[in-house]
Amino acid sequence: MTAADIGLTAPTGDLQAKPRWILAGLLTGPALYILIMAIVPAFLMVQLSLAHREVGGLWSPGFELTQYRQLATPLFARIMGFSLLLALTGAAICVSLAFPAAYFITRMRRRAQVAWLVFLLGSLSLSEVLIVFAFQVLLSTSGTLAGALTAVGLLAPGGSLYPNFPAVLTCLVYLLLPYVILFFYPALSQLDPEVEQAAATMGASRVSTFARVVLPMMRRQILTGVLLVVIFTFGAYLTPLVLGRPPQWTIAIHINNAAMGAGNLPLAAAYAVAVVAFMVALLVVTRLLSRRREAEA
Amino acid sequence: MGVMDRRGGKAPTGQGLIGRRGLLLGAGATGLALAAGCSGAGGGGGRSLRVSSYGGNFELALREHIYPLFTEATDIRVDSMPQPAGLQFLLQLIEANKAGQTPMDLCISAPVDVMRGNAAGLWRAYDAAQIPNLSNLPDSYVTRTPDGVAAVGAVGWFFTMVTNPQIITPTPTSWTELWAPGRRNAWGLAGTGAGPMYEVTAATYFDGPEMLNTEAGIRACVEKMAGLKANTRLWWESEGTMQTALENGEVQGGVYFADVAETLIQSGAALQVVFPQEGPVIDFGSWCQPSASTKTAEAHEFINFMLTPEAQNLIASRMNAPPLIRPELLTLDDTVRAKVTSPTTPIATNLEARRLHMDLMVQEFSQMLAS
Repeated sequence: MTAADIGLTAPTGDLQAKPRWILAGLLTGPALYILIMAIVPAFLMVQLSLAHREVGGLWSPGFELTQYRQLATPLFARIMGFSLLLALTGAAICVSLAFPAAYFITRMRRRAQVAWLVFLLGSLSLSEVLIVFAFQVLLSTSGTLAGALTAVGLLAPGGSLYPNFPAVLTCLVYLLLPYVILFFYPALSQLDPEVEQAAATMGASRVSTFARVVLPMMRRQILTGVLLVVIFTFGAYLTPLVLGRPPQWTIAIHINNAAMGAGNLPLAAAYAVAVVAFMVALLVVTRLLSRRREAEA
Repeated sequence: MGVMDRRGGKAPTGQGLIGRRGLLLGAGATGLALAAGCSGAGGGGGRSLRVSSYGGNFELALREHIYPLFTEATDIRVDSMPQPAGLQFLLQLIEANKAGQTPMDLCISAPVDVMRGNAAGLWRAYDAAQIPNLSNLPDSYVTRTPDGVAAVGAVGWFFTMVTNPQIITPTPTSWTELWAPGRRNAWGLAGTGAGPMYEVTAATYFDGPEMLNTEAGIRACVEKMAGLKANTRLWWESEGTMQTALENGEVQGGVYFADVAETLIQSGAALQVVFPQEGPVIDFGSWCQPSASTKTAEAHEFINFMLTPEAQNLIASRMNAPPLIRPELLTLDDTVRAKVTSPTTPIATNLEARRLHMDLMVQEFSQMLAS
């Protein structure tokens, strides 16, 4: 993923003109921050995953692969499989809703665009905890939605709309949609209107312009958007915990259960290392595939 | 954690955020850091002791009704503070203790954390000779190590059956009701990996929790527990989640803390506490002293006082919690007795099984739930 992929392009000329030592000085802070806050904890996590687990206590320093052997169990495969399914379904829904939404917003008048952006940014300020518990209330037996569905006979009396997979998915899509729309917005608003006008002059309808001109031009952004949602959703914790049943628990919940429930921090760390490795592999594979397609094109 | 974390001590982002106690727990977690910084403050001469206990009703009742009597009897001031339950607290405490700065002189710890703390060299051993009232306490509530006594039972709690009396009729008499075919999606059960559902299952369908000492026993027990899945709507991990589900009518009953259920009943919830014929599961917290605390004499006096029948009677009447000293030493009136003692023999938590097989128990349970 490059900066251009996510629609961020910084003016570079100015920086290059400055002497090198100023640049080095400016970058030292962020570099140190990344080193201390990201690389050191990652190293500690790997170290912990190799530690020796003391069943009656906590753990002791060590160098063993015991916990990694547990990753070869059907349980772990199942959890990862489910997390991936949830992430991909969520990404498909989010992107197919967010992309057209962002497109239409960019085609509105300036004032309407600003209103939409303010609304979307505003909805991001709601805490995830608040949203998840609001969904719980909405979907519960005594909630508005379940009540309405019961009244028209679509839901048995006393029934509720959670815990289940659709509830988890719906809430995750709700949580991520504003991010994805805001992510597509800059790229779509920079799309030259003349391209669409040219398509229209050549007789293309609005729908076919969107499908055959806009979508292909935005392929890379769409792919990055999908990855964004996948990465977010894969680590979802609260939503599946509150709105799902145990089969819908993601890897994040199982990491917490291993660490805080069983006190098996080496296993939790091994799970976490595996997730990071899986994510990096996913990004690398996606990158290679999209490069190959570009080369073919 | 005895069989499971008490007082909603899951991760701070977990469930239980909207439970009454959940909020207090958050305060407790910050309290740990804050109190560490100002431990020297508030001196003013005289002997004193900093004591932490599970935030919420527990800490409030101890602070208001029991500690003042101790101060009156010994002239030792108690600075009471809330503590969260769970591993996070223990890990923070281990670090603070290494740095020689624990925020409290005594804390409450569940049996598994007593064990973990021991392994990490966290607890100071008590001198049993300095606690004459230790003889009031059954041995099962005293944790001994080669150095002496590591932990002394403070207060107990029951995991028992709760039901909505308007829906679940007639009132069940046995844990087998949880498995009954007609109760699809009815219950909220304890979902912690090595939690009390093991004891419930072992006592109801097998010869008792002793079976959990072997791997085969654990597997047989989990196989039986799989029969609960269709009837369970919520596998709760923190009490706040279960409380919400009970109040919203999302579940018609299940397994819950008897003392919290009593509080919910008092505030009008359609709920009743059932002590099944096989017995409720009893778990308890112990008084533990981090080794960095130097107030050994005060700690001994405090624990000795907490083991008096006087203090234990108050634990029953003010905290709705089962006292741990021998029943014949207590003088409880009938209403209090009915709330804090089970008419059937409680099922003791098998700690040995957790010491030997904690990871296997969690793994088998998770696998059963996830499939």
